[in-house]
Amino acid sequence: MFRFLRNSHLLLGLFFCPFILLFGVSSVQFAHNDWFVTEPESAEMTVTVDPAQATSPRALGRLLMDQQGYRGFVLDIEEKDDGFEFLIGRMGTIHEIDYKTGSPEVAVTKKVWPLISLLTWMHTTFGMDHEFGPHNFWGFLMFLTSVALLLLGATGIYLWFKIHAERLAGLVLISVSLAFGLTMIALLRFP
Amino acid sequence: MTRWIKKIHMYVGLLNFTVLVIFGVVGIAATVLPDPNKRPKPAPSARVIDYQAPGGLDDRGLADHVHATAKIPLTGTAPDWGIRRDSENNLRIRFGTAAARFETTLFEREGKLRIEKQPFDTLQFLFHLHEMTPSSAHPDFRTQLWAWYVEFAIWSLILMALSGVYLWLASRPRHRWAQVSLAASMAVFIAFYWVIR
Repeated sequence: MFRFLRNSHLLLGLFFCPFILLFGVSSVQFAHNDWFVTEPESAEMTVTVDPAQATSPRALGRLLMDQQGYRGFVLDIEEKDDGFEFLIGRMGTIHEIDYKTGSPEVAVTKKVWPLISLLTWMHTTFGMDHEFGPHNFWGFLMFLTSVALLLLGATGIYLWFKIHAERLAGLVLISVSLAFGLTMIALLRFP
Repeated sequence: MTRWIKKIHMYVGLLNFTVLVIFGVVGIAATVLPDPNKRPKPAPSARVIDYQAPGGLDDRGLADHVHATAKIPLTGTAPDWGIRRDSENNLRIRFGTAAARFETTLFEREGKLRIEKQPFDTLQFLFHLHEMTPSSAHPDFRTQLWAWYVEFAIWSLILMALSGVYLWLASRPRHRWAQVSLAASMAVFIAFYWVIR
């Protein structure tokens, strides 16, 4: 049993190490946004399309994905009197589309965020109901990482308990964690 | 050296046990549960108090005065986006805590203030706890204490990941499955980065 759980702790920890580091580093960015440069690089361009195929935001979005290789999904559609605006986005990269109905030209602004912003995007991309396949794959990985966090905690507790010389110190620490944590939760839930 | 790193790895894990469990639970809930807006909400409650609005204040000033008068625990002054006039020109001000959202409506002519409390369900409450950091949290000591605990947990998470790799390299670097495990995850991570970029 000890050997199995020790190996499980090691293998889980190593497999999920990059993902746990991702959570940690991106959380530092959430907590200390002013430490990082998070502005995207922006580039404007004009793309030619067949107006007959650009009948709706989704049709134009599909056309741009097929012709220009934009990847992601269509979001934030805004209908205007003379056309529409929308985004084609995936983690860390957004194409802002501005189109006037009937025009053969589409104004596109491409924004690419730096790595640290991409990490926060990864941190917050959960669930498996996204329109863009890779986001679903990532959502599944984030789910597995969350389960792994709990399993690492459970196996870690077992491994600590098996080190007899550390029982007292560990008992004090986990008691402090539970007493402090649960008290604070109660105080914040029922102020 | 290795002995001390092992101790630090273990002690930091034990000290952060509560908040790390919350991180895990929140991640699972974010995947398997519907969006909070699509989940059944706990029943709201409301109370009405007498309130005389002082003259000469604009909506921002009134919102701040309402905040000082209503004394809703753990709330700061309302953000600008939380202040608006409704269709009957009553001032509506929204305050938030980790546990509940408070929608206040000021009936200036009647001299009344209605305070409606919409509690969040437990998982949304835990979600708010997991994202609370000292720079974003309300200055109240309870919120700040929790926020510092989360800040500590964030750095601890990084420390535990790095010390865990060190402990593997220092004790069983030739463990075949361990090598495969780390290599596989690095490959997945890099491949995903390449796809998404």
